[in-house]
Amino acid sequence: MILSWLRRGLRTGVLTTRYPAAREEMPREFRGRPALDAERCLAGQGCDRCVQACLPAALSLATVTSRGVQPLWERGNMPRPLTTISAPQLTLDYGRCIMCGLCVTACPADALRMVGDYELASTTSNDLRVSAVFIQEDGASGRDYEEKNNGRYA
Amino acid sequence: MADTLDKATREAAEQLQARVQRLLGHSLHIRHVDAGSCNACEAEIKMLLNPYYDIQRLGIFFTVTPRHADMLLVTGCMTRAMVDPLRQTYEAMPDPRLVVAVGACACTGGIFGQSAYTLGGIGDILPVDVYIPGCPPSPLTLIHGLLLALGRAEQRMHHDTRQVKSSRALPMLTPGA
Repeated sequence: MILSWLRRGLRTGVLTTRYPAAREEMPREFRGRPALDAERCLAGQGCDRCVQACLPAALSLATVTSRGVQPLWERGNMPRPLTTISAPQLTLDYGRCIMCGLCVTACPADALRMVGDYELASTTSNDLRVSAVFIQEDGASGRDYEEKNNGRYA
Repeated sequence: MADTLDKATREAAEQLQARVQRLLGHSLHIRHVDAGSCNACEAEIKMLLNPYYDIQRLGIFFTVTPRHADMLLVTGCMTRAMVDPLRQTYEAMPDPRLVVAVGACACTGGIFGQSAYTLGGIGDILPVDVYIPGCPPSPLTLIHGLLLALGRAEQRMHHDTRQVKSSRALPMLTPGA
């Protein structure tokens, strides 16, 4: 009995992972985390499907406003030195995310996809937040975006 | 106190600290406290002790009393009933002590958020050193977080705010809105 266990152990060899020394290959079914590709995201055009699909409100939309100088060529005769630009901001908080992948299936533009990344720990909660601000190309103020998920990170 | 030291003394202190960290920073004793968890995080933490992940090869051990512990590992969405026991556990630990929040619940409240019974994350109760996200975090994520707290791993996640030029707003794409 014991000899057969010993033989089996010797035949199998070491199974323990060598993780910190060597990278571990995750299984194909491992979902990892959702990654946001801001270039493809349509949140600047009024899309909020991922925010509606997100169960723990890890994805949130907020309106950020900034006061800036209006470009010279837009001023015309009447100088309007200060203008307020509002833009939608999409925030993905990994500290809140449950990595379920519902946002990936909801995304119409493939801007969200799951990446098999497992080194997610961070020393501050702010490092777990990724956000994108969508500024209108012509510098115009975006329409009044409704804040979703309480606009938690405005 | 650090302000009163001159430059050479401070440099010597930093070198000594780095040396102590290198010599003694390889052993860690963990006290785990469940602050209202669903036990998924506990299942993953238990996996750390199996022959595959085997964190004892890294010098990391679990201990049954906070008085022997260097690190407080907290899971769960911080129920009001566990606030006092968690504080008592933290106060019973000797300095220096680390606090690690495991799982989305301990980080921010996760899927439970804030309610009449949960505070939403342990950040308001204890000073958190490392956040390990995930629901539950995989054992490798846990190992990375524990080594990050010990200064033996690098942080991969960083805050990022991107500014994207967006073309003119199209009609709403979402049917319901």
